[in-house]
Amino acid sequence: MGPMSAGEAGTQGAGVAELRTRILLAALAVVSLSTVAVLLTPSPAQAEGASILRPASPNASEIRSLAFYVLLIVSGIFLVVEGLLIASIVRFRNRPESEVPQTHGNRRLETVWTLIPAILVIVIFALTVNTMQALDLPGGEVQVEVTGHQWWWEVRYPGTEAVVANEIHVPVQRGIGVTLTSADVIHSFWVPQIGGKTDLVPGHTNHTSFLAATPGRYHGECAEFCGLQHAGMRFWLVVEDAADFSAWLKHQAEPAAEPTDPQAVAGKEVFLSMPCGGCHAIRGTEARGNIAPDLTHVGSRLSLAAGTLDNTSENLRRWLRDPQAVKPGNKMPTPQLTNEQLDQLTAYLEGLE
Amino acid sequence: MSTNDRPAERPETEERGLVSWLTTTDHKRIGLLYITTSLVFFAFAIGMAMLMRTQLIRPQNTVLGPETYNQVFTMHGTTMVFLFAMPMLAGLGNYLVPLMIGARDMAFPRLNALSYWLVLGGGLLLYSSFLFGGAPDTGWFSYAPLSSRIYSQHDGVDFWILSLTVLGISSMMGSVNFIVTMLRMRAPGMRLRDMPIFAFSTFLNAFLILFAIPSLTAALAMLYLDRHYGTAFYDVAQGGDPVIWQHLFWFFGHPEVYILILPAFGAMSEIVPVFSRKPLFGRGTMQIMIMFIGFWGFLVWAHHMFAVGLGSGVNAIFAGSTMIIAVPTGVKIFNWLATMWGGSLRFKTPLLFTSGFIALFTVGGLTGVSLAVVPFDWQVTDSYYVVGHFHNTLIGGTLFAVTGGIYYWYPKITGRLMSDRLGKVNFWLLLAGFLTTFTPMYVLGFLGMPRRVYTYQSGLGWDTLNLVSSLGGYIIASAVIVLIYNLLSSLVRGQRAGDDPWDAWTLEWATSSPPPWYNFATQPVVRSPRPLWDLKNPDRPDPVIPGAVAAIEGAGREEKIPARPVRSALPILAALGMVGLAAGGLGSLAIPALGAVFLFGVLIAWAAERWTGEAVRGPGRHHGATGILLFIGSEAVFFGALFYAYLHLRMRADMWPPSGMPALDARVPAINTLVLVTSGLLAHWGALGLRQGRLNRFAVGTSLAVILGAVFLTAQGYEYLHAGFGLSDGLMGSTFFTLTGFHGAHVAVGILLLSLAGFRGWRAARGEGLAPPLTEAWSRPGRTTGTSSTGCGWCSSA
Repeated sequence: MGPMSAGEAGTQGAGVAELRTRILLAALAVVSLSTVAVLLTPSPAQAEGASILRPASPNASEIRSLAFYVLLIVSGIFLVVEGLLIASIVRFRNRPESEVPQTHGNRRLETVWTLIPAILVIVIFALTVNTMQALDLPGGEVQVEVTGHQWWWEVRYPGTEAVVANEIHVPVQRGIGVTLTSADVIHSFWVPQIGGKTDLVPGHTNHTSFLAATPGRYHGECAEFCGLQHAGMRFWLVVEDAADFSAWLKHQAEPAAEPTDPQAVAGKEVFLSMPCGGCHAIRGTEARGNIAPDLTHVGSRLSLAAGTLDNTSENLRRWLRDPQAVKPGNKMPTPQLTNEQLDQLTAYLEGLE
Repeated sequence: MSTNDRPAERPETEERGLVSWLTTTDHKRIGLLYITTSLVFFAFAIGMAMLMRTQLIRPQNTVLGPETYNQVFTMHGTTMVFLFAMPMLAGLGNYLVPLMIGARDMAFPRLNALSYWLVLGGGLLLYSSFLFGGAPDTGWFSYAPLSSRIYSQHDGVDFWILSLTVLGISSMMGSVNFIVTMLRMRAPGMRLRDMPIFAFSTFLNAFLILFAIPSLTAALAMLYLDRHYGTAFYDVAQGGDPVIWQHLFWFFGHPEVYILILPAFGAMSEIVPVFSRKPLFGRGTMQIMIMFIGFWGFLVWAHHMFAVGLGSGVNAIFAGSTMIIAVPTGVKIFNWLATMWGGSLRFKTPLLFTSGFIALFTVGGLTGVSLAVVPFDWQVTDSYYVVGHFHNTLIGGTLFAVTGGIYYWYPKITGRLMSDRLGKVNFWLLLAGFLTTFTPMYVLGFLGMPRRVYTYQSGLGWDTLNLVSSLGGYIIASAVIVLIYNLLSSLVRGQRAGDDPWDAWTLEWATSSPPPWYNFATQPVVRSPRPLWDLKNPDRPDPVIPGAVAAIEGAGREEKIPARPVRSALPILAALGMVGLAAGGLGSLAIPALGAVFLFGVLIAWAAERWTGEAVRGPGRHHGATGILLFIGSEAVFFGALFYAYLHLRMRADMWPPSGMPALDARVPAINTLVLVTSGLLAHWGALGLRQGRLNRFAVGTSLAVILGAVFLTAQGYEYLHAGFGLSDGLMGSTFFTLTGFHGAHVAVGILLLSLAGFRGWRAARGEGLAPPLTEAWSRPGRTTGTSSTGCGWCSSA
């Protein structure tokens, strides 16, 4: 039994050593390039879009500080482990085997590295429970009911007639209570800058609450896989001052305005002559469908098709021409429209502000 | 001890040809079949990952549409878990465990072959969905109600349910086999705790599989019934609750991730010491920690459900229980480091991979702790942060350890070393690819990118990170190509390994490379956990195992080597029947009926086959009896899961029985319970008779037991006919018929097995050479189901 009999032979030599260095360098280059790429991307704290590190609510701030402490602790452990790994590789590589003591363990050391993680875990648990309590906001001053649908959001404000889709407006610096349920499969409600996720589970009613600290528009999205257009189930959370919010809500509760522009008047007729009203409602007309977004004030919204398109006249026309091309798999059948009808319908709908 | 000596001429060497592989019962060949099959599926899964990364390389890309993308990510996850990682670990275990414990084969060689053929069959069944209307597309977790018929109308989910059921049965059989093998067939002197850690972790893993899989099987059964027979389990419209699926799925799913990592811990604990030239640091602690992780893994499942709305109390409890797992995991990492510390590190490819494991798995563990922090989890769950996290554990953990293990054991399996040079290329590419792919994902999670989206819009800050991640993916793919090339080319060009190329210490290195089909000419004996160390260093052997000297007294004798390996065509035929039965669930009733008849025939042949395989067995209970006991334990979890569903629904219902439903008459079930218990006792009484050679008593006992079983089924049939409602009649119909139906099916199968046992016992007693204790084993299902699960039927009706 020679030590390292066959494996040892033939793998040593200058060529191999050189190759090893080259591989190492190449690997280091790749790793550092990728690190640089990660670092060059706008830091999460400044990026456009939604980042949990750019909180816009006390809840999200609490979670950010919690994350900071937890990640600090685990980074410490990470550094210790990687440090020990590197140190042992550097120090004990290819030592003469005769110098190796055949130690089988050390109870005292093991106790030490059982206790230290145990203490850290207790600290992390305490931080967790502490933050969970801090997040428990009392019921909101403004109530919002959100229902998840494949693949859009229905938003109601109890006590008013307002029905909105894919857009939630709330007043700044007020407690907001959100009631969440689903009309079909499980969805999850998430506005990263405002706070964590809450699932919308059919047959259950979930609640979440938050307080938005600064006015602005925040990305919201579905975070539970819900089928073909899970990716196309986004929404906007609009935080505005109390007066703007009240005006907006009052307006949303009103029935749709009668069109005056001849194109739009013709568009209304197109809408009512087609099966649109079987799914969509436009309050103030005989369109009373309730399985697709309420279109009473669709012209006032920021986006179309649950955040898939910005709400522009051009995009609206594109959507009406072929919704399946814009958002494959969504439940809207393609309306058979002439170009003229398309123009008229677009004019009508974008006028519904 | 002269384990290394072999007869000068091997009797009848390896058999060749396709048929010899199809009918093999040799654990090493079965292990190789497992490993090869898993590598093929691995290549598929990597390919699908590349498709996903290509789709996501830029915003609004159109390489894959949503339909295809969802199929691809579902199949990627399902394949990696069920068709790569599990079969790979089962394959390594199959090949190595008998060698490591000095046995000639597994306890049940034919069952072992059947387990493998079921993996292949289940895999093919799953992949055939691509040809029949589309692959499953609801994710590897397939949450109800998205996976129910109304929201997922094509057959993909059915393929998924049925193939996972087949794969689950295979894993359970494999687990029973592993446990009995290691309980009963260790080399003299070797206690359970003295087995190599890889064998030890495989042993524990088998228990995890045995008790976790049935929860999934029960969830799948209810999903199937919902989809095809209108039951109400997950259907809100009928009072069902999709949250049941999540509880059952994660009660399986979380132990499952430990199922994927424990054997990897085992491989680590073999490789690190050998390449550090030191014994494993704190061997006993390592074993305790593995046991703790395995057990505790059953108590943390709801951390996958923090956003479901279970309430703060439940969330806090599961946060705490989850964090506790960090302690034993941390201890293991430190003990591996302490093994390396002060050693003499030989940086061959295996040690590179285990070092990579320590570096990367640590990150997976630490981010795992962060996910137990409930409020933080609310932010990052179901975002790309989680994708980063679990790939850190499954690639950085399982894949690195398994790849290290492949480089380590390849010379034992093939007789040749894999190229170390390519091995290093393989390692650095995989490491670089891994970091490039998954590091950006953590950031993407912070930036709000949700998982499982087939595309994304520009302007959210996700574009560059996704591009980098995709490029990293291609580096991973190139590493996998190098690995496969190395595996294949070394078969021909690899350096001859010799028996023990790494100067290792465990028994698998004490035989030739590759080992002869009988493994060891002489049964090895063991004085310490490092038997080859003792052999090589007689002047400074390891401390002797207490009691070892007495145990090996007179052992290690020459044993007769059978003339040739034993073959059987029955396992592959049985697998064919079972997969046929499963495939029948997709449509016409003709196929399952045919499958059932076929399977029945195969089972009879199985019982009748003159089996001359592995005969080494210790004193005490027969292997079969131990196996049946384990199986019954596993079935208890299955019924427990069904029971949980029933209680959950009953508690949520406004009233019970639901309005319009009759209250059930408890008299028939009460009498029936009595009948079944009596049947079980009679079977036992008969079996005891057989043991004493009283053939008449055996015949009477067994026949009466079978008859009473039939009486039970008849009474149950009567009860069904007079229930006044059907399976699809809401909560009541769903729970009553599902619970009692599965129980009745068990009784029916029990009667069948009891009849077969009677047949075997009869032949045995007439001196036809079959071991009598087997009957005792067969009598148990009747007895135990009689006492335990009849209760089910009764309670659910009460």
